[in-house]
Amino acid sequence: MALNDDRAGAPAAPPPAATGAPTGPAAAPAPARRRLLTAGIAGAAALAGGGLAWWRQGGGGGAGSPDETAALWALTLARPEGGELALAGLRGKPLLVNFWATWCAPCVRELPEIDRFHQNFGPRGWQVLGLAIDGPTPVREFLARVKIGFAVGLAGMEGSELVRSLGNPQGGLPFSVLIDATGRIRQRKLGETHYAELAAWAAQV
Amino acid sequence: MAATSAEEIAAAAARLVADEGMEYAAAKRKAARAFGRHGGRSAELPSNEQVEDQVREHLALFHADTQPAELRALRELALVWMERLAEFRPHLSGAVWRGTATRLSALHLDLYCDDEKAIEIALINRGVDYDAASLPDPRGGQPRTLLSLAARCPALGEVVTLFLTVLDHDDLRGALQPDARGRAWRGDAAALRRLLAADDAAGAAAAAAD
Repeated sequence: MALNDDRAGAPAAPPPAATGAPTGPAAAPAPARRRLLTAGIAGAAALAGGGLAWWRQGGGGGAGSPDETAALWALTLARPEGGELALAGLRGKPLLVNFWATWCAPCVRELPEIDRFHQNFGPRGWQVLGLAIDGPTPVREFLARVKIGFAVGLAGMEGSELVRSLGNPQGGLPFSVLIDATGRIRQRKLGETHYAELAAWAAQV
Repeated sequence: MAATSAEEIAAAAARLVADEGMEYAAAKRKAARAFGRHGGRSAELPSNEQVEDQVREHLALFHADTQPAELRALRELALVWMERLAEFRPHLSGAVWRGTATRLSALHLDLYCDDEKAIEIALINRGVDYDAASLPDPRGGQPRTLLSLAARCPALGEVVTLFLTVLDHDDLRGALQPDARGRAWRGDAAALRRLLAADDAAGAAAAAAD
């Protein structure tokens, strides 16, 4: 799968047009057979396209059900600065969840962008949560060096499971999920994001 | 004559290992060349155990004040990476495992995995930059994949090179066989945690004795 898979944003892919069905010049079969062949390829392509569209919706369509985020709200995670963070307390207001790790270069690159989103959209009712898929010690050392304003929870290596349950089967990082006040996932992004994109997402909710 | 020469080469190699962070094989060859042994047969070179003894002696003489803390920092960093790569059965080997590492040492992790591409995919998925190289198998089998990446070690303030040797799952058999003195050449995360805990206990005992 492509790394920059913005599945939530993409509508169901239309079946690829069959016009480009390859008919080799070397083969040059009889016209009737050739039509049959073309129809066959077109049929296969349509089927594949349909399958892809179905899979994409199954994997995580734009309008997610609130159940998708059930695993998230059930969590209580340790905070790097000490104490605990009950995610149930974040329910009912729009929320941006960013999964990151200190050893993931693009995650570290995008943290200032997430922080900027938090600064600008926090006063408008947006909550931002960074979930670190990493050991507690490296996260603490990292946060001592790099100051970020939003809340961070230690999801540990088990956090990969949570990432998968939120519609990222490979568990890739960084991964951002935008959840609206009703608990529905509105946007997902696997790969590096930036402030403008986040702001555009928030404007749509 | 051969015995004393091997011992001398071991001592010279140990200096290269401890002070310049060289690997044993390269240090032995370089030390042998320094003694005028061009193209020497490997049988005349000291064993890894001999070099390691000399390294320990050298560390005790010249780095006793700094080396234990550097070793500890590297072992803790190794544990962090072993947790990150836990699904690939990481085993720590090399100087950091054996206890002769200094701040110049690289981390060596052996990963046992049926599908070597899975490790690279996991690294790519997590946005980690790495280099890949191919090493001939010492036993003449399939070439092995060696991945290297830069790991920040905040405790040392250094960027440590982390080498990941990708091995077949079957190679795990025999991997924990001890050397001539009953110490294993590599250990998994649980074994490393035991080492660190034993280190803590020894440190506490020393502090209590003071």
